[in-house]
Amino acid sequence: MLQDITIGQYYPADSPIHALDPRTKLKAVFFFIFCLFWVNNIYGFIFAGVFLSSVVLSSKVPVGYVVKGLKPVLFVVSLTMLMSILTIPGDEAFRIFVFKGTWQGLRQAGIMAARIFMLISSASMLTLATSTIDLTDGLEALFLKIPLLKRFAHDMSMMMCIALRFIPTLVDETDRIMKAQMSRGADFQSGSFAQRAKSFIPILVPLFVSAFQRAYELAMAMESRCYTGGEGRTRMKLLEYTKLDYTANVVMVIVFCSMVASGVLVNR
Amino acid sequence: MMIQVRGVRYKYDSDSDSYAVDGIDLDLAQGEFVGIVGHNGSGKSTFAKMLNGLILPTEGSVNVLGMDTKDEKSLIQIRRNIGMVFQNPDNQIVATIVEEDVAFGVENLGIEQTKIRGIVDSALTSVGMYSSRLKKPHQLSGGQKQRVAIAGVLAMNPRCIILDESTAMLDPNGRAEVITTALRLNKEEGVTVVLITHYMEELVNADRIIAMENGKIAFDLPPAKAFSDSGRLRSLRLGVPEIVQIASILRENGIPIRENTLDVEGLVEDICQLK
Amino acid sequence: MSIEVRDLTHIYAQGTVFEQMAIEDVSFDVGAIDFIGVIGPTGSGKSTLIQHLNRLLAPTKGTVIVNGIDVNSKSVPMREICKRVGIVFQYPEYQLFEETVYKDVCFGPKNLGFDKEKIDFLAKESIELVGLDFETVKDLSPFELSGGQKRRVAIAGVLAMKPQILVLDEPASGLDPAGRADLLDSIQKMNKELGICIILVSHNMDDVAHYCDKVMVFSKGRLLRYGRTAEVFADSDFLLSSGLAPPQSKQLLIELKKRGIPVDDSVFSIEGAIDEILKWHSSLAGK
Repeated sequence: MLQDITIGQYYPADSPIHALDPRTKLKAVFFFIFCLFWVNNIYGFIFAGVFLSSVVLSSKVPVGYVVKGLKPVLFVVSLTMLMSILTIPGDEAFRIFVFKGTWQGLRQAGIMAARIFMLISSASMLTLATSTIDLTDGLEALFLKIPLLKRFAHDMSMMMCIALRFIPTLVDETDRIMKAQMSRGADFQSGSFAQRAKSFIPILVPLFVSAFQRAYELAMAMESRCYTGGEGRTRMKLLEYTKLDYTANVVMVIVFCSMVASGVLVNR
Repeated sequence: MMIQVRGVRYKYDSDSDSYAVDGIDLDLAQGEFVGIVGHNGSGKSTFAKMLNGLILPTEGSVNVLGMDTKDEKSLIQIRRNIGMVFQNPDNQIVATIVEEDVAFGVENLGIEQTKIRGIVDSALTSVGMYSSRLKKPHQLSGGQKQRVAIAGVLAMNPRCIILDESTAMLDPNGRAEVITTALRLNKEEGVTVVLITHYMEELVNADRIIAMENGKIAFDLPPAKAFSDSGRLRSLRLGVPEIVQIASILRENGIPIRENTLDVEGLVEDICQLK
Repeated sequence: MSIEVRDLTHIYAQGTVFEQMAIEDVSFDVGAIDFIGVIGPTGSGKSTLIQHLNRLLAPTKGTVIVNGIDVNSKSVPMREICKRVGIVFQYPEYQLFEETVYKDVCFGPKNLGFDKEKIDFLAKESIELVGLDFETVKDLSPFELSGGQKRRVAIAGVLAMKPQILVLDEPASGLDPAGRADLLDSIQKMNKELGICIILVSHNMDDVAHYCDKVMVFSKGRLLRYGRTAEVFADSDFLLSSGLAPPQSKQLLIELKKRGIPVDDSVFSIEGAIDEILKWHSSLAGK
C-alpha cells in the first residue's frame, strides 16, 4: 500500500514538463484543480482529460506510475459513487431488487469520480516531474508573493528541506534499531493488536531520543554556520522563467478558459 | 593574537560546584595547527564550543580577532571566521544536495548571488569533492560527508577551522581523508586548525598538543615533548602512537633516534642512517 | 563446531536496477570458544555477513548452521536463535529505551521467556561482566549515563540472553583510548573465562592483532583469508593489497625491508618490531 502512493515520489526524466519552472507547475496544478471544481459537464471534462493526458504523455513518466497513484483512493471513490447513484433522487435508470439507480445519480457519480481522479493525477504528476528541492524553492518563491504567507515562506521551505534531508537517515536508523531489538528477542509480528502496538515502544523511544539528539546537533551546526533565519539570506540558485514557461502559460490560459467557458455556456 | 582565552570557566548547571571548563588561559596564533586531546568528559568539546560562541563562559572571556564572544553583535563575524566541523557527519549537513549544503553558510552571510557559485565550486575543489557536487548526502561515505562539511565551512573563508572530534565516527580511510585535508588547508592556505581527537597519531604533525583533564590544561607542548612522557599520557587516559613507543625503546637501547621522530617515515630515515 | 557457514551469498534488491552483490560464496567454520576478528574496508560485506548469523537477513543462497540448528529453518523460532547468537550493533547505546538500566537489561531475557529468578540473576551477572557496579547503576535511567557507560549497558543487555556466540560490530568506536582498552579487555574476559565465542568486527587492525586468535579478511563481499591472526598478519603483501592499513609497527618493518635492512616483516607487534631492529643493530656491531 505504502509503495502505491505516487504523490511525493520523483521520477527523473528529461522532458519539457520536468524542465518547467516549479512555480509554473505549482500554479498550473492550483488552477487546474480550481477549474475541475468549476466544470460540471462532459465537455469540460473532455478538455481537462485531453490536457492532463497530453501532459502525462509528454512528461515521459510511465502512465502506469500515474495510474498506480489512483489505487489508494479507488475504494473511497467507488463507495461514494455507489452512494450517490442510489441516493440522489430523479428518473429511474435501473433497478436491482429494491435499489433504484437514477440518471441524475449516475451523472453526479461520474463527475465526482472524474474530479477526484484528475485531481490526484495532477498532484502526482507535479511531484513525479519536479524534484523535491525545486518544489521547495518554488513554494517558497510563491509564498513570498502572497502577503499573508510571506512571513512563513522561508521557515516553511527550510523545514521541508530538512525533513527531506533526514528522511533517508531516519529510515536507516529505524531499520538499525529494529534489527537491534529483534536481536534481543523482540517480536513485532505476533500477539494481539494491543501487544503489537506495545512492542513498538522499544523502537519508538530510541528513535525519538536519537531524533532529538540529531535536531540539537543540527541546530548547533546551523548556528555555527551563521544561520539566523531568512532575513538577509541570499540564494545560490535563483528560479528563472524561460520561453518554455511562457509557452506553458499560454497553453494553460487557453485550456483553463475553455474548461470554465464550457461550464458557463452549457449551463445557460 | 587570533584567539585569546582568559580565565575561562564554565558549568552546565548553575547550582552545581563542578565546572566542565575550569580556568583556562590560552592564545592561538594565525596559522597554527593545534591538537586538543583528553579523555571523554575532560571538557575538551565544551571548551571548543566556547571558541565560536556556541557556549558562553560563566567566568572569564574568549576574544576572537579582537571581538568578545559575549558581544551578541559580533557573533556572526566570529562564527564566519571560526568555522566548526562536528562529530556526526549526518547531523551537520542541512541540504539534500552536496553543493546546496556548501552554499548554506555563504547564503546565510548574504553574499551576492552572482558570487556564490564560484565560492562554492572552489571550496568543493579544495576538499576534493567537486565531482560529487550533485550527489545526495546519504550517497557519500563518512569521510566524504566530513569533507563536505569542511567545504561548507571553508566557503565562508574562515581564518580558523575547529574539528570537534570530526574523525571519531570514521573508519581509518575516512580519518585519513579528513586529516590530510586539514593538514593541506593549514600548510598551503594558512588556515589555523584546531583538531580535537582521541587519536594521538593524528597529531604528529601538529605545532602543539594541548591535553585537557578535569576542565584544565594538563599540558601544552609540541608533539615530540608531549609524547616523550608516556607515563603522563597514560595517567591522562591517552594513548601513545606505536612509532613513538618503538622509538623511545630503541633510544633506551642506545640507538640514536632523533627526539622529534614521530612517524613511520621519520623512523625509517633514522634507522637507515645507521647502515 | 559452533558456526558453519556454507556458500553464503546475499544480493540486495535482486532483480531491480539497484541490485547489489553484498557477499558472495562465503564459507567458514567457527569453533565453540574462538575469538575471531573480522576486518575489511567499509562496504566489504562484514555487516551483511553478521546479520545472517541470527536471521536478520535471509541468504540469497547458502546455509548458516549455528550449534546444530539451521538458522533459516522455518521450524526454528527466532527465540531459539537469540539464545545462541547475540549481536551487538555499532553504537548500541541507541537501542536503550527503558526507564532504568535494570529493566533495559532484562528486556532480552524476558523476551526469551526465562523465569523471573533467572532473569534477575542474568541481569546482575551481565551488568557486572561489562565492568559496572550493579547496585550503583541498576535504578539509574540509561539516558543519564556517560557515553561509555551507556555502551556497556547496551552490551550487558545482549549478554543477559546468555548467548553462546557474541558478535560485536565495532564495539569500541568513539571511545577514548583507555575506554577502548577497558572494554576490549572485558570482552576478552568473556571469551577466556566464560567460554563465550566472540566475533569482533573492527576497522582497527591493532585491536584485532592484539585480541583475536583468528582473523577473517573481507574485501568486496568475499572472504579473502581466514586463519590464525599471526599467519594472516604475517603476509605483508596481502595486507597492503587488500586495502587495509597494517599496524604502524608493521608498516615500519615493511618500509625498512624495502630500504634493504634485513628485518623479518612478518612480525606485527611493537615488541616484535623492536626485537627485529635491535637484532639487526647488534649484527651490525658484530661486523
